[in-house]
Amino acid sequence: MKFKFLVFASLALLFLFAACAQKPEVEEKVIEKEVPMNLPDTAKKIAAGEIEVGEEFGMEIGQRYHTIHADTLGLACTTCHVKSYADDYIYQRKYKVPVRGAPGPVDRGVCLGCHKENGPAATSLYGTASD
Amino acid sequence: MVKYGLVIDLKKCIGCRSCVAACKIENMVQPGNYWNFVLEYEQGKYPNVRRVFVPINCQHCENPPCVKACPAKAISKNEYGVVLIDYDKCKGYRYCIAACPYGVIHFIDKIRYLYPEDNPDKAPTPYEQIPAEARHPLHRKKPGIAEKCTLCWHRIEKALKEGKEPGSDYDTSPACVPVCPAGARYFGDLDDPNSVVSKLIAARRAIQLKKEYGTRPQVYYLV
Amino acid sequence: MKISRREFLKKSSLIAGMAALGSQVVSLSSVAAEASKAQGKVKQVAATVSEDVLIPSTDIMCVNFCGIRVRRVNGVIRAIYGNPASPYNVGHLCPKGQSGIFDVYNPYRVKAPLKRTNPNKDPREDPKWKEISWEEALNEVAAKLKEVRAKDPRGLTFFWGHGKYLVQDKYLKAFCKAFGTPNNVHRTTVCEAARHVADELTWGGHGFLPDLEYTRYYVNMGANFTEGEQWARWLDRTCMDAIVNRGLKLVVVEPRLSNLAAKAHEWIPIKPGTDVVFLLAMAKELILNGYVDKEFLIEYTDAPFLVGEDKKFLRDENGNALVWDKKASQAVPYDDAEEIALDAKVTVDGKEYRTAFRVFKDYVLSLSLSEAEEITGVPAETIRKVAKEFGENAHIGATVVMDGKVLRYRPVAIHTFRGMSAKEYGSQQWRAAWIVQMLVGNLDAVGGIRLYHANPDYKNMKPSTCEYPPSRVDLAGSVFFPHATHNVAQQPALTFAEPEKYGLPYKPEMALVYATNRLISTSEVEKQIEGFKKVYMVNINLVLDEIAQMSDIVLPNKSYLECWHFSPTRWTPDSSHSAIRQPIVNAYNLPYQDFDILWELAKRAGFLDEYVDAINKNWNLKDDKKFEKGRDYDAKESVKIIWEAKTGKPLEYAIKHGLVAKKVSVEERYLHDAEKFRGKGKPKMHFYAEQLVHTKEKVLEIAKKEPKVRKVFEEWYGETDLEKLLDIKLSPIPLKEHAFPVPHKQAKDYPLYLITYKRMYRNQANPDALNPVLNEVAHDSSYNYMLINTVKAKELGIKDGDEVWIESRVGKVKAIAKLTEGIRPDTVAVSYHYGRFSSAFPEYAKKGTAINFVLELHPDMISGHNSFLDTKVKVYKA
Repeated sequence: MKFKFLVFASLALLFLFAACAQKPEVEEKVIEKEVPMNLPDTAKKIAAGEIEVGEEFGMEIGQRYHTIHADTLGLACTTCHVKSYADDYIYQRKYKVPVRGAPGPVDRGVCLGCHKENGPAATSLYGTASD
Repeated sequence: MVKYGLVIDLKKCIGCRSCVAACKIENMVQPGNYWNFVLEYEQGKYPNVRRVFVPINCQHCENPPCVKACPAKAISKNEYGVVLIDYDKCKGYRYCIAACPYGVIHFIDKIRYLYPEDNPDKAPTPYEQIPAEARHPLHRKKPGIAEKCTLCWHRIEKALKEGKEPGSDYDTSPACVPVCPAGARYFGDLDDPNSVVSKLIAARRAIQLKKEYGTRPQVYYLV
Repeated sequence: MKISRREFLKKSSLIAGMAALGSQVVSLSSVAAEASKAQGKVKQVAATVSEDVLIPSTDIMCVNFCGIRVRRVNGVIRAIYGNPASPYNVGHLCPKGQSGIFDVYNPYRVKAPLKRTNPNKDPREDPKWKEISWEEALNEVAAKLKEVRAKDPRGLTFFWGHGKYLVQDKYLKAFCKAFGTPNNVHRTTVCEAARHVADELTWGGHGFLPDLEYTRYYVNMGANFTEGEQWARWLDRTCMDAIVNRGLKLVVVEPRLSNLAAKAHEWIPIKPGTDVVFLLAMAKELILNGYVDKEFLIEYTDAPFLVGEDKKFLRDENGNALVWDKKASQAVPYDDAEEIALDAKVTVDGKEYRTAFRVFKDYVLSLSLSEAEEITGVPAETIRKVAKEFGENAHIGATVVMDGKVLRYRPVAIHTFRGMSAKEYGSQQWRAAWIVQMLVGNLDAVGGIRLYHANPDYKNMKPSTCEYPPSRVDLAGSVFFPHATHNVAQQPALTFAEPEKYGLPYKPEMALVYATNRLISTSEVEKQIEGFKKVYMVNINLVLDEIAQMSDIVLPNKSYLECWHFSPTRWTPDSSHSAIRQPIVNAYNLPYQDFDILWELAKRAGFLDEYVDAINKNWNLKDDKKFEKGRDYDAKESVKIIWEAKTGKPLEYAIKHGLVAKKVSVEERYLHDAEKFRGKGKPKMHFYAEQLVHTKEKVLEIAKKEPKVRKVFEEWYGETDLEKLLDIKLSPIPLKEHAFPVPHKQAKDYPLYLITYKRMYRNQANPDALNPVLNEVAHDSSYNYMLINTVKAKELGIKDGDEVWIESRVGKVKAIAKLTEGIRPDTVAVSYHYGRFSSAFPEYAKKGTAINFVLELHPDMISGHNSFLDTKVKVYKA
């Protein structure tokens, strides 16, 4: 699986500014970088500690969560963050401004791709779809 | 085994938010956060349109992603099937919030008060001033942790201690259940085929939310 | 009383410090420890659990009066639960009822008597309050009362809304009686007064419930009990249970998809104001298809009475209305007839007479369904279908046996609340629903409509005396509102502004306002403000709302969880109960509650003995269970006297249980009210409201003589042809003209209908806007918006969330547009209790649009009801 690799150079700044904003303008700046070719491999390497992703858990830029997903696995902001949820999206926090002015809420469907049981990611969060 | 859960009749739900108010006050939920909330949306085009209300709280999944996601191992599912966050272990990493496909976990960034701090009394209400010692541990919340529905574990626990059947009356049921003006909420043991919840699930069309996540929710919706 | 600056700094730094340190919980007990016991201060909270109790009481966050249990922990209200022992709410409780804690713990409460120092009275201006002592406040008000009473006691108007349900209006009316003023004004014309009056014109009582436990087919025309209705907590659970478990079919007829319409099998988006035509068309279909309960009409109603060309009944020399006896082929008194004709046209003494039924039938048959479709916007096919289903489900002729009694079984019901009432023709609209229901005979039938306290002798069963000059500032019972029996809430302020305009024979001097806020709950608000400026105002209140900010003196009241009250309660078809309210806390150490304040005022103004007499009379207190002269009573003693007199149980029982309930027997349920009209020797229900014909004659006579009356009518109704106006207004049967209120006819440049509605998160003009829980129970509960159909919005270039102007002929307001599929494209809707504008309210409580500023007032002539649903507007981007 190949992922287009986008790095938002202005991202950190954006988060700082957008802390209170409801609809942050996302300014995209594309920087070419070496793209990891094999996502599951990378995930396994992260899990095995072969790739450095930092010690600090948390959702802030610079903490493990975004270091893993954005920097290391190379997921674009727009891969996870959507503009807004559909009206009938069954998600309790959908009326809340995303934490710290993230570029938009996240449809958990995107997580499912990797974090399902026997999925490609190291951490399996979700089970097998039930009837 | 006992496995407590909820059944919510969407045919009856009138979108009044009684269950939301009950939950907020009973559990002293941080203003801005919700252990229980009602989603609302329209379907169809005028004049063939309907409005749908979906009350949503922690689904107390049998396979809870939040438990696996938490790096601090602060979340667990107890022997009665209730998923609880241990506020002492929680480090505020918010991985549970990211992992939950229902969005029912909320973060307490700082203690917020019901009225603006410049209110004429210049103090929180006596309700907010009830000290930690006079609260159930699940209501002793602090900044920098995650909070969510406990299925009113403090009520279940009290019932069990007093030798009462949880859900057998008003005060042994989760606060959101007996207040419901439409009588749309039911609580009981999903493992007991004779419980009110099991009977409803058997008799009516009952669905669980977002089954594609394999979370196996213990909250069922009658549609 | 304010907390000192020094104290404030200490507290706020502590709050900030805690957040920074992330220390344990909200533990502010050290802060609270500083709070003194003095009036107006927050009380302290103990650190360990020394108390955790449930105290039964009765809710009053709206008018459902649910049974509650208040949980108190260490002297602090911790939660409010429903009381499962209440037969009315069986433990259920809405968000308002649960949030009542924050009516008590509300830092914006009035905590000491206040006196204005700024002479400019405008609710948007700071009155520059000065705190005064209770002694000073009570003495000043008492002196003013004395002065007014000596001059002309009618100069006092006592306003109450919620007050009726707190201390109860038996006390309030006693106060007025003892003082000597006829001016006691409640607020029903903001809700369902026209419906009540239509009930009274028809069967002499008011209030009813659909017998939902057995109903099969239920047509709801604007009683959205899922959000706000006075019987909501019984209706919503019973209705939802019936839909899910018994196959009840719910049809909701209203322009906006309310939360009730969202639960309906069918939503029929009708054009605003036209319900009457929908019902007349339904009646036509019922008659054409033979869905007529002839036996009921003949046995219980005046439908067989003979009506002449003059629209009056043919009567004998004793005044008995005559019917046509088919056997004798002559007109005879009802009681003498052997075989009564229902549908007949006969000649008596050379004059033509038709039965009232025939008059109505001829009228509805003259209406075509295509005309009904054009007026109502409802397809003829839909009307036909609803009529057919209604007729089929009525099971005309069927009976059931319950408890050995043979009962009529008609499991269909029509219901309204504010939806059909709050209109220029509210009374006539709801009369149409009674006629449809009489056609199928569902009154007091199993599954039909359960009547409450039918009274054939009630004054509205007869022509009005049409007094002129009016005796009351609200003009109720006068030539202006001849059948208004539920007060006219919006009128007093207008009369204050121009008493001579209405021919008032005295000058209004003073207003006592208790637990009501007319500036929020009536239309054309600027006129209300101007009117209230003219009188000296005393307000008994919890918070400094709009009416408080216009007052000269404000007296703080205790909240409902701090008071003793003998509470009103709601009956259900199978239960009734008595209940009390008892104090749980006294959050701000206030010395007096409503009862005490009134007592003190009567005492200091020198009419306490008269007050005591009037209280005993109004509550029907006798012998040793009554108030004695020459001594004072506290609120608890007052509740003890009434509770014990009414229930025969000791007060201790009420303190322990909160209420005492009783089951209603089958006999009381079905054979108590409609039966008062059944058969010979009994008066008849008014299928045909002949009394209105007589009332019309009197109104016409007075109006011809009095140019002032004609001028007011012309201003209200824009019609100079008096005869034509009154023929329509006071018609004995509902007419299609009743679907066209003034703005619909006149406001040609305003293309959209504007309707207003209630939401769950507010009740009337209560302090709910300040309530932090109600403001956050839904994503949109802290503000309102203008609902507009998506297609119409696109046409107007309006997007979801846009700011728009809503402009009527009387003003314009800004609103946020919310696009929805759930409203007619020709209609916009705005909930009416938002956009608060008291200068004392914090910004968070002022959110939303105060739509009442742009509503035109064309009151229902019969009942005085406010025309909340008749205005037309244009909408454009701000």
